[in-house]
Amino acid sequence: MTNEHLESLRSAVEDIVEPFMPTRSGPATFDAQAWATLDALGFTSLTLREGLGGSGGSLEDASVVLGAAALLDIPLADALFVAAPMLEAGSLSWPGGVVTASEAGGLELSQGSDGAFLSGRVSGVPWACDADHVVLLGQVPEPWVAVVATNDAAHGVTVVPDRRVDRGTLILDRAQPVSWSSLAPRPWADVILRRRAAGTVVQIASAARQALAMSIEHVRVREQFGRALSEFQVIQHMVAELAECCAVVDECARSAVSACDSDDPGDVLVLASAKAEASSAVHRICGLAHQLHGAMGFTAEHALGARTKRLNLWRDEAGNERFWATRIASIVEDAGGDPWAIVAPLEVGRAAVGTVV
Amino acid sequence: MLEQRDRTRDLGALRAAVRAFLEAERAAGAFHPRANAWMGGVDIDFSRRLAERGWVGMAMPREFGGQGLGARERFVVTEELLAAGAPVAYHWIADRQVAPAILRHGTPEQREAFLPGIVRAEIAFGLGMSEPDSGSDLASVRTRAERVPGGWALTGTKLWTSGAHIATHLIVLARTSTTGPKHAGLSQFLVPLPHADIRISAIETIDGARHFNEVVFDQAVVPEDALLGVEGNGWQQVTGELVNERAGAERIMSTLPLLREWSETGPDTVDARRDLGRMVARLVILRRMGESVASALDAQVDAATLASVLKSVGTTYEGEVLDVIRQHVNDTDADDLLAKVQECVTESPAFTLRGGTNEVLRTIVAKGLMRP
Repeated sequence: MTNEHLESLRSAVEDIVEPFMPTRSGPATFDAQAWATLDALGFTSLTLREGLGGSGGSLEDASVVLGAAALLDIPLADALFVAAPMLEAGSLSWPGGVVTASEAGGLELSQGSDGAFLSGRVSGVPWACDADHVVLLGQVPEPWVAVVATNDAAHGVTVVPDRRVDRGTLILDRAQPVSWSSLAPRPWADVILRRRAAGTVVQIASAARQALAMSIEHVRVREQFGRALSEFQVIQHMVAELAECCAVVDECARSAVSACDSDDPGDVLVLASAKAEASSAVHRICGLAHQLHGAMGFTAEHALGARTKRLNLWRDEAGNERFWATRIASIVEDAGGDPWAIVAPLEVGRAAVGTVV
Repeated sequence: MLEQRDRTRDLGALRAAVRAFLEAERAAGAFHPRANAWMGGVDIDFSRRLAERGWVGMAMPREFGGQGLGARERFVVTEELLAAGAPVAYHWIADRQVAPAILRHGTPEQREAFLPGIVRAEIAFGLGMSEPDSGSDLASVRTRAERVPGGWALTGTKLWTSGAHIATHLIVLARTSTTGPKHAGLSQFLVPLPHADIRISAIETIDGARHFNEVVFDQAVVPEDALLGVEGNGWQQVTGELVNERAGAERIMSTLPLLREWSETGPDTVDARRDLGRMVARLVILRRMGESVASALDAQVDAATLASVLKSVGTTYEGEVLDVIRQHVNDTDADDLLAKVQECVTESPAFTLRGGTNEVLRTIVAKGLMRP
């Protein structure tokens, strides 16, 4: 896809989501209207192929859409980076409505005389209480993907909220999936974790860019000691440092998206590095943006908090920097102990330096 | 797309060839890997062996002995040299920024006179930029060049000039006019060494090394054709050069040889593994940013701001690597890794200074961001 294509996609989605962007930092509440708007335009199922009800977009396209809509309280990352690719892997159709997704570890898919059924609990499902369908991935007895309708007590599905309001638990009692399919062997739990990590890094990069733009705007307008804050060199350097962090996190997003779908150890290293670096940058990004905004940015009515609160959640989502750093140590060990051999491999994987322009 | 895949495959083959050469050199004892070798590792014979394989000045056109390859090919070669801790200081500056500057601004005669020699690692350059009263404020340089019959007379003092004592030439930024704003009236000169009226004396640095020099020009006459580019255009020419100087892998990888050495000892405690992972993660992301700059240079896109960002973040990272390893090795280890780290720590203040301090870089970045 060309840069112009991605740029026009970005600006189109930015215009669409503009009315839904948070202007203050409040508790997360599901934004049904934002979902419905994006859904009606086909953006929620973008990464599923056309024959299955999507529009055949790439993960790169999805990252542009998700970047523009990162702050919305809807399961867009889950839909674009997990649900649609999993449905694609199982050749299942988009179920419609509000769609979210979750890995379902030990949940067993059994087959009886009247079809397949699921029993057990799945916790921490993003926006489970507001979703119409959940795409689940399990490994028992063999890898499978299944779509479960949430408002379906008659068929053994109950949803209860978790402590976090944007998470819920599915309680399945011989629940019949709307559709299901078995999958070819692959480290699916890890695939999902990596895709979630990539989506989260895209969101971090987006919120960081917004925090930078807001900070630049603020220091230009706000005057103290008789001049704009932007005229103080100490302020200029803080803005530059914030921009440095944003440049790093932007690279993390590009790297994560290009690498997240490959099981090649070199690509897993790229994805792991992207999430580790993006997560560890959040502390500096939030610190600088708030410091530049002074007390104003610390109030609930200011839009900065809506960015920094999410950044602080996202750095822990899909593995924090400690988790991924430890994983990287294992990758280096498995490659023989020399980091350079795996950082710059001679046999290049999908996300190798030099393949992305 | 096919062209893209071909180039990717060629880059992989190039990397393999350089790596194999370096392994053979190392096995033969031709060099011992060390950190920061692009500044401190001078080995003329090594540079010439690299040149024989076409890996010096490889981005120069074929008519000047180069391979006409792009910034990304050069990026692969420089990465492998840095990762191996190879002694590349002799040819580094000429390869990195002087050859591109001469190609861009030089006359046909100057290109012919300098580029083939640089590509053979026979011509080595020092950068005559900073002065006693002009460090970060480079545009305030006072060394002057005055027209004299048959050429120019240079008068003034350059300071902290790395490698001037081993270089065959200096590229000197001097004032050719004192009227107008300080950024105007500067010009660049290609000055051959040794020269009867140029005195070079060593300045020892805190790590005990001798690569800094004081260079005094005492009415040193150079020929008419020593002027590079356009008289009075020196500032624009130098800032273009600085993008090459700032964007390279040497702003990320100066301490990579030590990270590799530590990693190969098999760090196995929980916090050592986490620290190793952190340092590798940053390396992965920063080198991908570096590759983006190389791609931008290939595509003739202005990469000055990104280069400044990369140098600031990358050189900070180089120091962090030392600070992490230091805490996980001790002097009872079988090898002398801690001693190497300590030695590099005393060199490390240079990381965030050379090529423009991080503060100067942040000022550049901020100006770009705040422009109304």
